[in-house]
Amino acid sequence: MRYHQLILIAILESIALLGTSCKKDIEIDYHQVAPLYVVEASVSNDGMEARISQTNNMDDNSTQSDISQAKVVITGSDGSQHILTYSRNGTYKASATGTPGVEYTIDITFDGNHFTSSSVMQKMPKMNNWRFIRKKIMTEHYQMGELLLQDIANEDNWYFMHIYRNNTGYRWAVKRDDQNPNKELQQLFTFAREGSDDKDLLREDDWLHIEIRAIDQKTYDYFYSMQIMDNTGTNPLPNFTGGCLGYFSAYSQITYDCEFHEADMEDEE
Amino acid sequence: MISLNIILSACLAIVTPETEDSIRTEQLDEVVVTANSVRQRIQNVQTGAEVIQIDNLTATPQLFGENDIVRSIQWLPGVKSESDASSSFQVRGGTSAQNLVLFDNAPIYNVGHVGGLFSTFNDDALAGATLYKGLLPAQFGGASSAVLDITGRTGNKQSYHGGVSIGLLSAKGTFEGPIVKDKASFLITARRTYMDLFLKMVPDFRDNTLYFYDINAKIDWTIGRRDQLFLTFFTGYDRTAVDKMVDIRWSNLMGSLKWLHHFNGGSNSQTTLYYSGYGNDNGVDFVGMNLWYKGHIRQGSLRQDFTVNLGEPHQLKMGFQSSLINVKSAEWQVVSKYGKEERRAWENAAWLNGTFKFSEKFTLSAGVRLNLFSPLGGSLYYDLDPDGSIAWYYNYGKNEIVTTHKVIEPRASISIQPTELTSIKLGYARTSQNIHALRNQNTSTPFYRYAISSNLFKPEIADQVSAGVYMMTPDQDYDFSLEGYYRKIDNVLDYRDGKSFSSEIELERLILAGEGKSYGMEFCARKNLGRLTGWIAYTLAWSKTRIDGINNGNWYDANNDRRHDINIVAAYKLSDRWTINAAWVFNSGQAFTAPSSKYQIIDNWIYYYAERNGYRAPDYHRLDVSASWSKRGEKVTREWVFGIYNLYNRYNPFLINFEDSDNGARTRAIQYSLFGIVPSVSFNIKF
Repeated sequence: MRYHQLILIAILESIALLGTSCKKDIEIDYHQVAPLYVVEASVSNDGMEARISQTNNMDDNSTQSDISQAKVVITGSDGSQHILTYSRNGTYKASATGTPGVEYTIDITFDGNHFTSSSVMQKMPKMNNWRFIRKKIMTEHYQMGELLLQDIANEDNWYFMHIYRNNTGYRWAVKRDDQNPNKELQQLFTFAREGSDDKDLLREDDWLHIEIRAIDQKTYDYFYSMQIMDNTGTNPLPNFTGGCLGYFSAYSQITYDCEFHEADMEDEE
Repeated sequence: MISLNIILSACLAIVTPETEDSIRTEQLDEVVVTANSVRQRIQNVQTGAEVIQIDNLTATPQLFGENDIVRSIQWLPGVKSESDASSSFQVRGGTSAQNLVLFDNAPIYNVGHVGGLFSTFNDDALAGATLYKGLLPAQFGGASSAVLDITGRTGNKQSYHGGVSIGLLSAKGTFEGPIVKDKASFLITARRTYMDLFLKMVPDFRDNTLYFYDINAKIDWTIGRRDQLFLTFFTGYDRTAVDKMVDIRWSNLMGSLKWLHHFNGGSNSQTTLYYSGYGNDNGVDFVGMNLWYKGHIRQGSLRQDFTVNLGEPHQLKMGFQSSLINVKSAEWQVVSKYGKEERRAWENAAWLNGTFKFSEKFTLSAGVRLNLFSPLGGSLYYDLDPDGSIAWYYNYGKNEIVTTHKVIEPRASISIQPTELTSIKLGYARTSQNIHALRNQNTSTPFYRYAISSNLFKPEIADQVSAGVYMMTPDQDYDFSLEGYYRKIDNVLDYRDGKSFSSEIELERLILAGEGKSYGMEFCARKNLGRLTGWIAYTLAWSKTRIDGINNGNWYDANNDRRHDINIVAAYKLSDRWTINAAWVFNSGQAFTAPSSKYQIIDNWIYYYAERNGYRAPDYHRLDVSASWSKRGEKVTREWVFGIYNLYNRYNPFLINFEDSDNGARTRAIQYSLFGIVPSVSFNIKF
């Protein structure tokens, strides 16, 4: 939970004391815009992958338009070069893994488009602990998660954490190590209010898969700008040249899997 | 959820009515003011100036039973509330951060209690105010939009008076009287909410705190036939704390000493020494995460005003002001990360403004203001690369002048009065602002980060032209005004893409500067006499911004762009004891940014924003009503006021968010509203 969210709760609870606040769905007549290309590409200790798709209009509920005819090449500053082959659903893959410290450049060409970006592969992150928390805020209890990382020593580091629930993207966050360099870093995730009908409420036996990546600053800046975009009404910072949306990141990743059981939650008053 | 909370609060007595003549001449408080405000609206040379009389505050129904001078001006043409029930106001396309609020000549930087639900000004302490909608006489400066000039009330020099009130939300008290009869008087008012006491009665809310208080005091001492001293003190404090997890505090502190000296022939000198400070201090202690954040703005000034009577009705106003300013844009600690940005500046201004009445039909007010603003060394300054990273540091010595921003600000207003009942006014003003404020993009915090003009930030400079036609009926029962304006402003600030309020401690790294323009027209029809009084105001307005690096460098509608505003305010005197008030407001949809398409990244649906502020929120409208009963006794006057805010329970937009299902199948636009219907009862007593 971020600082401003806590303050938001404080103020909304204050207004709720007056008992007159309200929320409701409203109709928006969304403007139609031409589709843009979207690239999500990575080099990791697990392989190389790129997915190329297009944006959907707001009222378009179909699956994304995937691009299958692109040429995708990833070149390393160590002289390596890999051509990714088309797999399915707009996804291109290569089995080669990345090496920390190497800067990788991706080139994507199709239909006269050329998109390129680069990223420096980072060292392997280390996770210290994960726990489920039940936190009381005023009269309500909230499901939360606490992830503790051990910062990689003696260098600037940036991290990306992604939680999947039952194989579906659920929560994510980015973190810089400047809050506690070379020491333990804490990331809190707010899930849902207990007793609510929120679809995000964790249920017994839900399976959580947590990915923790050490990323470079350029990728961090992209994700950070994506994290605040709901408040700012702006798009994430461009990560590619050539005019496409999305990002390219070279990272080292560890994973952690667990099941959610209410009995495992630790109460925080 | 709607529950009807009866909010019992009491307001103290309404002060003696004062009109425009008394606004800037509180020293003459024993003089019976007989000026007619309707005629003044026609005759006053200044276009875009609105005089607010404290006794008229009751013409507009009240939220939470409080008379509120800042909320009352939001019913005037060209003035907008920043959001539902907010005490921040916007004028002619400007933002609330571009306004200057003066209280007895000293600036007050945060005019809100409880996140803006209450104004920081207790009406019992006020004499009156004038709102200048950008067309400022030369003696005013420091704001690129509007100036609200509030004058505090002085105590009664003949006898003791006062009052006490107790309500559910707040209590306040006033006491005034002579220190030395006919020579010196005092006035002290204090107000405090005690919502926190109610919270403590409920076990689940026991660890929560929500309160504010403010105190006003004023001493007025007539030394002789020619001299008078005024000592003013004001402080306000807010605290909101939740479960020992979040603690938010902010405060204002102001003190001023003014010496007024009258010369022969109607001229006078006014010397003011003041200090004004605003600060906030916030802390979070949450599941092992510990952080705090604070900031402040402090200003100490010496101001000298001369009014030279050149022979009625010609008048010259001139003066100078010198200020030392200290601004801490932020100081914070997040776990072990610490950051602080604090800078100081020296600001000097001099002005000359003459008002000349060449004939009964032609009046000219013209002047010029020179403003010199010098950021001082002692803290770091730097240059930036285009991406906002620091390219070079400058470490100036303490008090060394980093640079000086010089702005010459011409001002002029002309009034042509073809008949006694009509006038045509034209005006032009250049104004500048060197204290910049940046609000959190997230609506959850009521705070700004403040910064001064520096080697990177240039002064915001606004140029406004305005013209108007004013008419009244021979019996002055009705009067009408139609004003048009065009305002252009340079060096307006907005966030860089990808940056937020707290991304960097160096505020200049978060910001890009650009230009803005606003234009529109304001129509107002007033009924001034009889049982039924009030006004109808209509504003047609545009407000646009252009900043390189935002919206592809194209002009876009500003956040506060709203095309149509209608305000209808009415008071009906039913009998000697009963008065009915009603006010209806309509605002067409405000500009906001909504997504135009969506895509999938990291298994999450992300929105693509094709245009800044390209959508319109739903229209805003509500009706407020109140009924007051008063009985004037020989020594005590009692008054009950029953009010309903938002009578027909309209849920107006405060915030609009977007949500998607896991598979992106349906996007929901969700509107959050603050207030439905809010009834209130207040009881006022004075003696």
